[in-house]
Amino acid sequence: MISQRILAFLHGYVVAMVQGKGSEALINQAIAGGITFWDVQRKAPDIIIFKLQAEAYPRLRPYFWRTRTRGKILRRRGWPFIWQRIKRKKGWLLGMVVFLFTLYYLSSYIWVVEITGVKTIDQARIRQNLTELGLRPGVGRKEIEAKRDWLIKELRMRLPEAVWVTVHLQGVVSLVTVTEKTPPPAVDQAATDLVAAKDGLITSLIVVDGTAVVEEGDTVSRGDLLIMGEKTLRYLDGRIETKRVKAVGKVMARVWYELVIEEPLVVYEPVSAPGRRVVYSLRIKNRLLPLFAQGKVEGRFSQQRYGKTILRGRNRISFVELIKDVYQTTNWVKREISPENALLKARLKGEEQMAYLLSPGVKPFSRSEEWELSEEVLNYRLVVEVVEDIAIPKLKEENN
Amino acid sequence: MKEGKQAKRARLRAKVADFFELPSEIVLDLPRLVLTGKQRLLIENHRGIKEYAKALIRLSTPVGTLRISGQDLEILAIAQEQVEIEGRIDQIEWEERGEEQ
Repeated sequence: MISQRILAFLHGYVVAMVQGKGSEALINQAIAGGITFWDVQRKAPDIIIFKLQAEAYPRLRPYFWRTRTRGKILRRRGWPFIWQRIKRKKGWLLGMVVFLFTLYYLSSYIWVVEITGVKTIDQARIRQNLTELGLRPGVGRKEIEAKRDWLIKELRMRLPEAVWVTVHLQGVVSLVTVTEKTPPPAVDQAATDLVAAKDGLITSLIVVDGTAVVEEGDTVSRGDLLIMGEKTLRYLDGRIETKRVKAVGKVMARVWYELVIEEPLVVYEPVSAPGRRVVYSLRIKNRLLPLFAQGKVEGRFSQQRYGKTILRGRNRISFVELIKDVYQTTNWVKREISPENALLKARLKGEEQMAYLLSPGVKPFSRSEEWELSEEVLNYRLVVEVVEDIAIPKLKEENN
Repeated sequence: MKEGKQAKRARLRAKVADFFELPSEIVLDLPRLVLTGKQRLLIENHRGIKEYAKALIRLSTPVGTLRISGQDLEILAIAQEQVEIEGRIDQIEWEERGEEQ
């Protein structure tokens, strides 16, 4: 059917009407004469509208006469009629040809040079370099396509701050992408003191730069000055000069870490009992619309929520979600834990928490633990001793 | 008497077509109807339109008049050999010889 319609469009067809009591007879006689009609519509009791090939319409005239009906062309459609109209409007045709030619001609040039990815490099400098290398608005696409690799190479040499440069041609736009180098973090050479990061007993001291204000065997508290960022220079002529420097050194100290854990000897655990209610709801953005519910729950209960994102492909930000809430009747049952098990749990918790407290790479030097049982609770205390470097630079605001 | 001869001839043709497994609509000059759902009907070997309205189309065929009733009936295409009708087809029936006009 589509092929027939395309063919009809290419050959040209007419929408015509026949009026009179013998309109069916006209169609019958015409099809007997080899004429084909399509989209035959009865518009009124004695009017039929139909489509037929434009060249076949003149052949209908004898049939109009024989069946005493009247025919009329309502519309002429298809390529031959369009072409006739175009031919009549020569100025329009010329304008269209000129427009298409101009569009084609202008699209073979670069009209926009877009620079992306630049953060610190001056865009004007990049644009200047590109102009010098030949990439500027108004230059031919073919010219740039031919020397694209050379252009990228040259631009990379002219921009030492860039780690990567690419040039893409997208229609009349030339997209220049510049990826800048990430500079290494600046080394802080400002004068600073070293202070104690933790309480401890100093076991050894190495001063690389600065002046030590503590010695082995001293007990220090957090924040105490350990190595002062100051150096005294004695010259041969007897002159003494004090200079502010960045204190560098290592202060090893015995540090104690203490943890207290309370482990219950009696716990209350939930046990599911008969009685369950399931509620289905639909969440649309922030609104929750209850859909339906089943079952019944009494007394104490626990709740669990399950969510399912609907239409995952089209719903990437989880706009719509089907939610299932399960309410389960729950009884709380008392359970006693033996002191041995409670101690085991407390030890495990202690080890776990201590691993967070200790600095990375520091191994315990010694450890001690003690516990006592009170009413329904086991109190566990863990003390770990380590030897570690406690010197840290003093914060700038503290320095001043 | 004449009708009797025609009927005999038709029966003989049917037997021959059946024996040689030939398409009976060609040998016996019968119309062929292809109905697609309720909305499209293709009729091959027709003899022209007798009546055309939106609710009723009557077509002449070698074996009598075919009556197609329904709603919004429209002739999609009509040529010497076939006619294609579209719309909501409710009923297709053959008119009795006496009913034919």
